[in-house]
Amino acid sequence: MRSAFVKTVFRSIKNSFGRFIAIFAIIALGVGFFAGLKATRPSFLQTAQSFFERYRLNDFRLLSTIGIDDEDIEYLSQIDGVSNVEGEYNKAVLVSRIDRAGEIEYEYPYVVDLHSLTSGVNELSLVAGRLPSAPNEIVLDEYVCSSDWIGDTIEISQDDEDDSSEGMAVTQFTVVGLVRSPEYINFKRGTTDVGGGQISFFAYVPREAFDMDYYTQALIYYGTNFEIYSEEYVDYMSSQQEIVENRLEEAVNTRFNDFILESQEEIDDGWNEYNESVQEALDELYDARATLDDSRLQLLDAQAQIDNATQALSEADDHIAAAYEEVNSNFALLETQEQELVEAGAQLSQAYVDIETNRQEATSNLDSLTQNAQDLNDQIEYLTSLLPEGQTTSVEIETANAQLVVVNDGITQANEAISQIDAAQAALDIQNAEYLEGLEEVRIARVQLEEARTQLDINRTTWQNSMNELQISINDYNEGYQEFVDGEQEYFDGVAEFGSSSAEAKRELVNAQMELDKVEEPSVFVLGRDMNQGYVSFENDSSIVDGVATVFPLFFFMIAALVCSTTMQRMVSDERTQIGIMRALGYSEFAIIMKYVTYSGLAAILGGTLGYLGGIRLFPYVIWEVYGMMYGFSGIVFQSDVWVLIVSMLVALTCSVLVTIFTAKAEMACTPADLIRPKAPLPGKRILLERIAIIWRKMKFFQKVSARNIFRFKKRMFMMIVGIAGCTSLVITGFGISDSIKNIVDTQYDRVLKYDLTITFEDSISKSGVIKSITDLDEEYNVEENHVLARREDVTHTGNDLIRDVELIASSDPNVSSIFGLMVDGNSVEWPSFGTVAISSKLADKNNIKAGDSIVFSYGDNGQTVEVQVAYVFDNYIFHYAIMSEETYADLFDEEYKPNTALISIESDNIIDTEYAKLLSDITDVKSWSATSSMRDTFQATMNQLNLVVILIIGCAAALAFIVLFNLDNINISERIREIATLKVLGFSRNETNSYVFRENSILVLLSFVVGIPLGIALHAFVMAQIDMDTVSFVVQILPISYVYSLVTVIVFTIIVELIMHRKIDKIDMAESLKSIE
Amino acid sequence: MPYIEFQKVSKRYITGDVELLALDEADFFIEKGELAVIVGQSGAGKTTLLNILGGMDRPTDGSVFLDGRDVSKLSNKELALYRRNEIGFVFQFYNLIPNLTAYENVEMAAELVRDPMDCDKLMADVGLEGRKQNFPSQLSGGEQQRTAIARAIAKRPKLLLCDEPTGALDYQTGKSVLKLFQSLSVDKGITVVIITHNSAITAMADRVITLKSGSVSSNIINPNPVSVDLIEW
Repeated sequence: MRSAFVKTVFRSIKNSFGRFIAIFAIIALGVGFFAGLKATRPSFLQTAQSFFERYRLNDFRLLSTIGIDDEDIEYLSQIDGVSNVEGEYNKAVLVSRIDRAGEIEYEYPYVVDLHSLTSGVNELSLVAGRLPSAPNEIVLDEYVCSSDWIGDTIEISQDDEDDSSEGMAVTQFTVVGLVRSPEYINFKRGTTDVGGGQISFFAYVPREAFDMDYYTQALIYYGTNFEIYSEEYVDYMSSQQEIVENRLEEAVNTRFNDFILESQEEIDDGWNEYNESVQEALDELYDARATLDDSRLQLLDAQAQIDNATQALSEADDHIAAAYEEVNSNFALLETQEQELVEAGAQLSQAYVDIETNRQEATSNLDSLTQNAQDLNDQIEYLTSLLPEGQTTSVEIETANAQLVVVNDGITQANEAISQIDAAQAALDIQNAEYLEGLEEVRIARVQLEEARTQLDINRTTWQNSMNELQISINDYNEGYQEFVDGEQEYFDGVAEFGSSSAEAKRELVNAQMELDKVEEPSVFVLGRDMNQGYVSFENDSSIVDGVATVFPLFFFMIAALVCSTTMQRMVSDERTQIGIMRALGYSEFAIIMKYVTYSGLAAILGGTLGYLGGIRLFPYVIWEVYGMMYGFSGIVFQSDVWVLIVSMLVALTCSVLVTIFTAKAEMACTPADLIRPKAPLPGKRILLERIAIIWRKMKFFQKVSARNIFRFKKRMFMMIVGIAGCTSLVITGFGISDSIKNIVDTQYDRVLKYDLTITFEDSISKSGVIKSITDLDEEYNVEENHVLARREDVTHTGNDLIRDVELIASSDPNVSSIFGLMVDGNSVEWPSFGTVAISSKLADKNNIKAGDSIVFSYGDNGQTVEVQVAYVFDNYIFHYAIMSEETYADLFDEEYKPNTALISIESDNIIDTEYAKLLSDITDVKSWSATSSMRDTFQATMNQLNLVVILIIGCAAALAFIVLFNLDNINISERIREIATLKVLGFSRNETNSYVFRENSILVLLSFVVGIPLGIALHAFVMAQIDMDTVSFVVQILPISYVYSLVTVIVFTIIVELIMHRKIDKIDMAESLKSIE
Repeated sequence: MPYIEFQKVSKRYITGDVELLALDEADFFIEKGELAVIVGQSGAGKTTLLNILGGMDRPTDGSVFLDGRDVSKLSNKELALYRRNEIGFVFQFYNLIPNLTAYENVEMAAELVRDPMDCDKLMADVGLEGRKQNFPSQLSGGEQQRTAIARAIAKRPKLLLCDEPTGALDYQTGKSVLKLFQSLSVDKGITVVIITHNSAITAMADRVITLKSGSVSSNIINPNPVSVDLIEW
């Protein structure tokens, strides 16, 4: 009997395979949907959990205001339950990437969050290459860097404003690998006050690459088995947090107190030293003063002596000088006398010479005259001798006698002259004697004078010696005096120096004391995982599908129940006679019902199993792929709760078995005798519409028939409407999601933020400098652009749930509206007025802020805040923005407004945005720049991933439609097989028969649309609310064309199913169907 | 040529290894306006014959003529038109459309042809004037069968084919239905073929064809058909 039972069941399945498949499929779909969506979050959590466990994400991150040292670490690791404690150096630095050829790949420094490698906590997941083994090796963030970075050099900027290289032992690293870190599980890398503010990526280097006295932070890993985000974990960790905090405080305070004591001691020592040295210095100064005073007195004495000596010598000098004068004048006199004597002597000598001359002249004159007279006498004798005898005289003798007379006169005169000369000579001799006498006198006087002079010379020498001695004394005195002056100066300097240095020392000591008194107790911070942005967002984001997971499956299960119910009802009615016979043969009601229960149960269990196994993989996988953009840290780990399986199976069995039992029971209510007879077809009934004669009469015959048929099978109508309406609503939701997401990127970057480039300049660049470089560049490259200067600040707003990063943009550039499309509900609005801010829609919605409310922004490292009134909330789709005027900025932040950013929209197409940015940074100091296009691409990619969800939804809708329509049509046809056969026999053509059957379907599909469209709108709104992303605001909209697409899609599904069913109708054997009822 | 003629019509059914010869070279003819009764035991091939004659099935071999037209070679579409325009069926289980009233059931058939009979008159003819607006479930078996007959003849078929028309009816009702057939044949000149295993009915027929194991064993003209009232079974 057992085997007979099993055989019957299997035969039933074989005979009605379509029916079995229908139950199987709808259960598979429902369970798949349910289990899949329900498994998504557990799978995500498990994925994260495995990742965190494998790479040991820190449970706590410990910070102290005075750093952490190895002793602290040691002390902390004694806490019960702690698995690992590691100290970590951490620093945001600016780096540049240099490729293997030595070329700088990217000249604008990356802002890198540099960590030291730790073991046992926050271990790295190696994606490519290897981990560092030497201090100069580095591994980089896999999310940002690609494998072609491996082998390149990362160089830490040397002399930037941010002191990037401070605290570093190594500044040049070779990239050896790419890693993921459990610390960074989403795409956000955080912000810093270094460089442009946005961290580009993270990097890990060995500990030795750092040169710091203390660890920046300590990381604690417990290695608990608690589920992440679970209450157990949170509770356990919050109890541990206190313990850790106390421990850390203790360790740090001990170190701090030691430090304070040491410092106080140092200060006290300082005071002692100070006092001693002051005393010493004073003593020295007193001594110096006394010595100086002595010297002063001695110097005064010396001065007096010198003065006296000088006086005496001066007088002596006068005397000597006078004596010399006398001697000299006597000498002069003597000289004159001598001169006169010499002159006289010369005259005498001349006179002697003259006399001699005269004598010789006279003598020679006498001699010549005597000769002449001789000659004349001789001549006369000769002449007389010659005289002709007769003559006594001749003329010649006479002349000669005349001449002889003259010559004789001459002789007489000559003799006279000689006598005169002799007389003169005698006179001269007297004079000569006198002269010689005078000479003698002069000689004696000279000797006397010479003696006097010699005496004087001796006196002078003596004086000179005295004088020299005096000079020496004066020099000595001067030296002494100089020494004294110097000494005194030194003394004064000493005094002054003492004053200032002692004051300085004192001030230093006082300051030190003050500083020490002021030193605050060290603060410690113990940050749990809830302070890790990625960790927190992951929890939120992974819950998104959970909301959808309740609504969709409910719907599917409802349809599943309806499908099972109608199917099983049909089956039971089909086998009515058989049941009757079995009952008549004595089978118990239970045994018979068991057959159907087994049948549907088997379908449900098989379907449920397949649905469960498929669903828990397909859904998490697809959604994980969508999330991949944000959380690509690991491959998905499939995980599903057992209760999901249990609930799935329970619901599946409820939908099948329970429904079967009820259905079969209802059929079983008849007696076996009734059962053996064919069941009367559902009686025809008049419908409400017939009472409205006006309409009814106008309807065509077959329309009337269809109308009546629709209401004849109410359950099927209901199921059809629910199924098709559900399918319609799913398709509408699918297309609606696409509508809601596809345009936001374009809208954001074409209509709200119209600029192509955000270029932030170094603070040193002035406003005019910025404008000049831009216009220069435009001219050089013939670029047309539109730019606005603004001040850009990264601020945050602490909301009810999250801390949100907000980009604050302050500008009053008249051109600003050409680059910012500020709109409220699609209408352009003015730039916010003084004292107000305009905030982006998502920021406002998430925090429930409306125009007129005020909003608080935090900025800077110390969390300064500003509060400002919200002018209005503008339409914005990606990220959060706060917009204000320059004046508001200056007023709010209490500083002079200075633009630091140019927002540039390039109008001409001869240059691309990135090129422009690079060229600009060549000519001026650009701190950072970003191109809207890359942001756009990133978001577009995310949005495209969401299309996967759309396809998934539409696919499910299609499956739903097929199952529902197929099943209904199948039942409809088999239930009305006689009716259809009759029609065929009556000569209905193929088309007439088909349209007779399917006209109802068409009407029902149209009716379903009436229900499905509003349902779709609601479902779409619901789904959009569920997949809400923090930084993206979707335009919750369904475009009119999407309704058309949706309806066409459903109609196409319907037609496809009908086409399949046409074949079934064709196959109906009229004769067989009509013959009789078995 | 006779109005209806079967020429060596065979029908073979093959199920797996088993070959069933439902009709084995069946040969017969029926003249126009006759009321013919085809009798035979269960499995003699009555229904197969009816299916073929009614255009619901085709013979494996042989030809079937109705009014000079070979029906055995028609396509599905032509067969549908053949059924529509030339045949009226009456079944054992009436096969009324449950969701249509008696009148509408007739009307539905009438809608199929160009020149249907007047439905109201027809209803009166079959004695259902007062039941026109009732659904089949509200009618007795006889009334349902009358409706089925009205539906069958509303199309003015060349041939009225009836398959065990009294099988599901009680004696009196059966008789009244048979009477209706007789009057249709006699008064309206409709060719009626009744298939039955009840040989008592043969007495009312103009022609009696007996089937045995798929072959026609006799085709006899009843020279004196009796009134239905006189038939007893």
